[in-house]
Amino acid sequence: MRTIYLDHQATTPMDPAVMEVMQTACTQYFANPASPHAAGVRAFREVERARSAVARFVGGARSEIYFTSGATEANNIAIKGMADRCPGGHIVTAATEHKSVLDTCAYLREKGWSVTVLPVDAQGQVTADQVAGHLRDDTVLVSVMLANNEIGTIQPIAEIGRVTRQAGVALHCDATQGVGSLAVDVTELGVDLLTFSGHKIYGPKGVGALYISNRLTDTAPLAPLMHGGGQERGLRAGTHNTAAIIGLGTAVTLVEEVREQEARRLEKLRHAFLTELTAASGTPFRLNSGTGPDFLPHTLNLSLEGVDAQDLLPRLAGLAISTGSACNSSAQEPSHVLRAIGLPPEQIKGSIRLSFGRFTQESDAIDAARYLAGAALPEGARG
Amino acid sequence: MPSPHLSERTGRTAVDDRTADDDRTGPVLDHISRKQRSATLIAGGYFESAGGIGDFSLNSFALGHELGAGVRYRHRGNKVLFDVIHNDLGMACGTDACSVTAAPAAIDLAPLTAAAATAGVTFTVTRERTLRNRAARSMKEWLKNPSAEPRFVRDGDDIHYRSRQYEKVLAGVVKDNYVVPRCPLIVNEYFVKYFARLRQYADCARAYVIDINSFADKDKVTKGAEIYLRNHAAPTDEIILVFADPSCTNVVEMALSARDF
Repeated sequence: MRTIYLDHQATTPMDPAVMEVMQTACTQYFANPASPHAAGVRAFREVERARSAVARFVGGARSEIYFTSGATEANNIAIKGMADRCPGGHIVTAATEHKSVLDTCAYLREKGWSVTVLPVDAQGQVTADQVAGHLRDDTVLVSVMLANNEIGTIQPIAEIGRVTRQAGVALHCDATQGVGSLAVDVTELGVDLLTFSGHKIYGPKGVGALYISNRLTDTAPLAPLMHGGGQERGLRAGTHNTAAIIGLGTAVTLVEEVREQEARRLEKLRHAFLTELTAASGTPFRLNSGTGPDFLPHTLNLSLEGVDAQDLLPRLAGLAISTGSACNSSAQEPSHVLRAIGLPPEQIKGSIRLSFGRFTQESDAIDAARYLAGAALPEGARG
Repeated sequence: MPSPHLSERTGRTAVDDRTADDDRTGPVLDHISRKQRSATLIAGGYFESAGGIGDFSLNSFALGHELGAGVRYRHRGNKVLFDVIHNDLGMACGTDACSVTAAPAAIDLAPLTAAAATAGVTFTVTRERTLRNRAARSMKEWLKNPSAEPRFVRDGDDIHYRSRQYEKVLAGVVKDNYVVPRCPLIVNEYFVKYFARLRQYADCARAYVIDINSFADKDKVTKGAEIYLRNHAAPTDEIILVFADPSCTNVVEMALSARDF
């Protein structure tokens, strides 16, 4: 049975070009990049080439890019590293952030830091004014994501960046969900730290990137979470995951090449899906996410009236979609994002998340809409 | 080398070992502009007083000539200079420290002179002792006024460079109010000297130093390149580090510029 994969916000399939590069890397560049022999130096060069590709991708310098095991680790390094500079200091974040940000902040709160979690509006946005209103003398970091992983809301990072720059407070942006669709330039955004992972942009799992402005680290490096061999300028000890890093370098290069046209194509797919669902569905549905310019082009979050999404999933075996955040799906709690935008419990219960991707065809979108419409009908009415 | 079974299982050579039959200069030359005239210094032929002119010296000198011919071909009017670094410090260099091993001895340059004559080029010889003394003088000035260059930090008798690519770069050690420069500072001094020389060619928009080293020297030359590129470089300067085995058939190149930092 064919599975239509529409869960690209949870993870993306690896692009064949990335896979090919990684296969070569596994056989040609398997040596330790720290080793002082030909194979080691060659692996080192490839890691640095990948670093240059990531630097170009975010508009930073090669020396400002650190490789990690993924966005969760990168977020932890960024937030804990900055917090460590000001014990007991203040951190500002938003209610719809990824759990790797919110839980890290909660951990710091337990350890004595002060944390402000900003509420969002019905679209899921925070404003620069909100951020400005909560900055204190002891604020050490503001952490706001580029785009949301459940409803696709794009945050006004550049506006927030102007506020934090003026106040002399560092700004961290978890760009994991945004970098695949939105052009990112750390200077234009005014961010000091930026994080993302490979597996959300058709790269490998187990690798991520952390941008830290040299402006921040020239005076004093961030405190590492792991200590050891001094890799990544001492910030992230451990032998480099060379093949994955090389794969990430290729993944970002591919994204850069196709990002704009792909964003337009995905927007059309989403439109085709919604048109078909409207026509085919006997069950009314309500959009929990927007489809305008303030939202990612490939994301859709909707609730089917009177339908429990958890009950619906078993009837959708050929459709790979999520209810709430996949990252949080084991928690058996209503989505913190949907709660934060003020959805009533019934609407949250019926919410499903679909996200289209690089290999989704228009026929997939239309078939998925028909499939979903059929599955959502009351038991007696299903064909 | 990795075990042979690896190659059998994967159906290919496990390590991309370039051989003499492969194009060993192409990837290096790809970094040289075809659009703008350039001045390039090629540092090959490195030798130490203790070991004299051996395989690496002769083979890297020959590689340098081959690269020089390629650089000239990249753009009409490109200037190419050749230099040989003579390590006359009598020291064995490690990653973080050096130790005195032997007194410098007179070296017969005839093998290099003959090779240059065959290639139809001339070359200069740079003694590391000279570079070390220049580095020591500039660091002595720094000792009087450390705030003038905050990228260097004194930690007891050690002087560290605040690197943007390494956790730790030992630049020198203070002894009796005098600084003994470590390898990265000596390498930096080399780049300072030769990029200044290349800037004399006012009609050349770009300047390159192609520095041929053994694999084991990767970290110290990379550290030295960073110090030069962040502290002294013009935007048009580029360092192309070439790492090679003694036969110079296995070659890896890495280009660095100020933009990387």
